[in-house]
Amino acid sequence: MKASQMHLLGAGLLLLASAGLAWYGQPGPGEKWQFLADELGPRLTERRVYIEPAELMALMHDDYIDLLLIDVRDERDWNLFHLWGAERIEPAALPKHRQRFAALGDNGVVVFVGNDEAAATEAWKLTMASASQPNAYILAGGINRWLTEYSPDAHHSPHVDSGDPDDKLRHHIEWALGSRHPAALPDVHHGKTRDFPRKVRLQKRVVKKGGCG
Amino acid sequence: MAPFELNEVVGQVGAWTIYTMIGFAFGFILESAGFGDSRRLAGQFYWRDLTAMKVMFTAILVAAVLIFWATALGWLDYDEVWVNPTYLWPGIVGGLIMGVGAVFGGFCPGTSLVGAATLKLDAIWFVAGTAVGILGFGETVALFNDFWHSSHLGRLTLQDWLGLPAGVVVLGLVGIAILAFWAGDILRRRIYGGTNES
Repeated sequence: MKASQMHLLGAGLLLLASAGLAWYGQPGPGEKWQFLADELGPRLTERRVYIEPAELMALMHDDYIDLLLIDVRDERDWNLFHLWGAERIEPAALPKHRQRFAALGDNGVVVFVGNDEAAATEAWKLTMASASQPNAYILAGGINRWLTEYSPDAHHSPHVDSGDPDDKLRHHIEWALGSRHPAALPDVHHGKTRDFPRKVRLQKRVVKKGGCG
Repeated sequence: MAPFELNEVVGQVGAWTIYTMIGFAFGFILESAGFGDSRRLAGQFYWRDLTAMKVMFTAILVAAVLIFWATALGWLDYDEVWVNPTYLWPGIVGGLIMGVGAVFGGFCPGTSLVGAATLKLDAIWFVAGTAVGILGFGETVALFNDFWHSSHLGRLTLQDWLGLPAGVVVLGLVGIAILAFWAGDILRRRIYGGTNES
C-alpha cells in the first residue's frame, strides 16, 4: 500500500471514530454512577458513608478538619433551620462545584445533609460520579434526626424512625432562624457524652499533575 | 474505572518501571518521527517541513478519540484525568517565549532531550540553555508572582468553552486537522515545489 493510501486510510479511520463518538455521546451523571456502582455502591449498602449526628458534631468542632457541609434541601427548609457553617447547593448544581471538591486537601471532608437521607444520598452519588470523588459522607437520618437529638424541644417532635422518611422536615419550627437555632451548633460537650462509630477516614489525596515540555 | 493509582495497583517499583517504559516509548517515537533533528522541527516555521504539525496534531487527536471513547464506555473517568489549569495571560506570554525559543533553537524542551540522547551538539546546548532558563525562572519568579498566578480559569477545556459535547468537539478538530494537513501540503508545494510528502 502506498504512503498516500495509508494516509487516506488513517484519516478515514480517525474521522469514522470521531463521528461515532459524536453520535454515541458522553455519559451523564446517571450513567456514570452506573459505571461506578460496583465500586462505590457497597459504601452505601453497607452504610459506611452514613455518619451519626454525634460524629458530624465532632467534625464541626474539629479545627483540623476542612469541613464542607452541603445542604441539599429546598430554600424554605433551609431558612427555617440549617447547620452552622453549612452551604445550600441545589443537587443539580453540584457538578459545577467540581473544582472546589477537587481542591480539598487531605483534611477535607464533605458531608451531605437532607431532611432524611434520600436526597443527600442522591447528591452523594451525583458528586461521586461527576465531581472528583471527594472524601464525602451523608448525615444519617438527616436534619430530622439531628433535631431529634439536639433540639432543646425535641421531645415534642417525632423521631425520624417513627415517621415516614419522605425527606420532609417533620419538626415544627415556628420562626425562620436558619443557623441561629440553638441546635445549629450544639455545645461540643453535648456530643462528647455520646458514643458513635467513627466512619470518617481522612484520605491521602494524591496530587495529580502532568504536562509535556 | 481508570485512572488507577499505579502505586497501589503494581507497587512503587512496578509504577516506576511503567513510567520508565512510557518515557522510553515516548522518546523512541519522537526520535523515530525525526523530532531529534532541529532542522526538521524548525522547518515547520518556514512551512518547509510539516512533519511536526502532522505528528503532534495526529497524536493529540488519536489520544482525544481514545480518551473520550474510553470515557463513553465507562472505562475511564475523564473528570479524574489531570488537565493543566488555565492561566490565560501567563499562558499566552509563556507560549510566545517558548515559540520564539523553538524557532531560534529548533527544539522544544522535550525534543531537545531526544536530540541530546543521540548526542546532537545543538540539542545538548539547547538542554543546557533550558536548564539555565529554569534556574533563572526559579530565582526570579517571586518578582512577577502576581502576574504568574493571574487570569486563573481553572480546568478549562474546549468543550466547556464552546458549550458543545466532547464528541462534537473531537469530530470538529479531526475535520480541521485533515483540512489543515491537505491545505498545508498544497501550500508547501506551491512555495517550495516538489511532490514529496512530509
